[in-house]
Amino acid sequence: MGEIVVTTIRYYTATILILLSLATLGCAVRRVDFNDPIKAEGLLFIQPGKTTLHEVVDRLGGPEDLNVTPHHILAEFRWSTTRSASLNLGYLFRFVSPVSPSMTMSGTGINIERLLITCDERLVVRSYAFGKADDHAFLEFWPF
Amino acid sequence: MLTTKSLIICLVLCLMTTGCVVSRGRVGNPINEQHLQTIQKGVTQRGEIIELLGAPDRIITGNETDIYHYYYYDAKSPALILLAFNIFSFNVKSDNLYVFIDKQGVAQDIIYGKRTDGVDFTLRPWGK
Repeated sequence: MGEIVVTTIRYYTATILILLSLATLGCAVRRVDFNDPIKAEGLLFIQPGKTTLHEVVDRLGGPEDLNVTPHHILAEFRWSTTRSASLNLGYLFRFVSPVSPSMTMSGTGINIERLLITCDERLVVRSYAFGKADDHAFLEFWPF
Repeated sequence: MLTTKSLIICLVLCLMTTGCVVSRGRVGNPINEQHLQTIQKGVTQRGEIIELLGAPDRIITGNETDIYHYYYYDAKSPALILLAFNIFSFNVKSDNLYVFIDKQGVAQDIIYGKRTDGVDFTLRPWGK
């Protein structure tokens, strides 16, 4: 009885492994991270009217951009995650044909996020706000 | 003379690293922090700043102030290229330096943030 159970488990494990291998044939997953994400919880130390841009930069790193307006200096922090996945269905032809045509479905999601900090001329923080961003799925094969 | 054990270790190492790719990219020159420390607010002149740090990558103007922007990007990219399944990661971080120069051409303030120390070769196509 015990021997039958062990054999059945081995059979299922082998089947799952074969299915997983087939499912990932011709797959490619790519990711590009630009800077570390900044969370709202990480900005609790900022006290508008007291905290300076220097203190912010010490904790978050330098802003990617600074803009000067007549009354303010705007510091823009940017970070992003880009995910791309592709599935080459033509790869399956390698089993039956010496030539494997390319039949690739591919999707890419770029998720750029921003934090804008407004400072006065003495570089004291007056306010800050996050930009809105899309949240893309981990795997986006379907291009349609 | 290779023993069987070392031969096996070499073989296992070769098999383990098969399909591994490691690459690196940089944009600009790393910002020299020793040079930064020599810049004194209210004293150092525009010409000295350029002599120390080179020409800025960008100049932002406004409110009778020039802001010299220097940047440096460092990217590390690990990848695993197997027969039928590939994973790529590209980790990029930036350093940014802003030097505020008043209309007399004297340094008034410096903002410098360094992130490139933290860029790594972690292969992580998953996760948030």
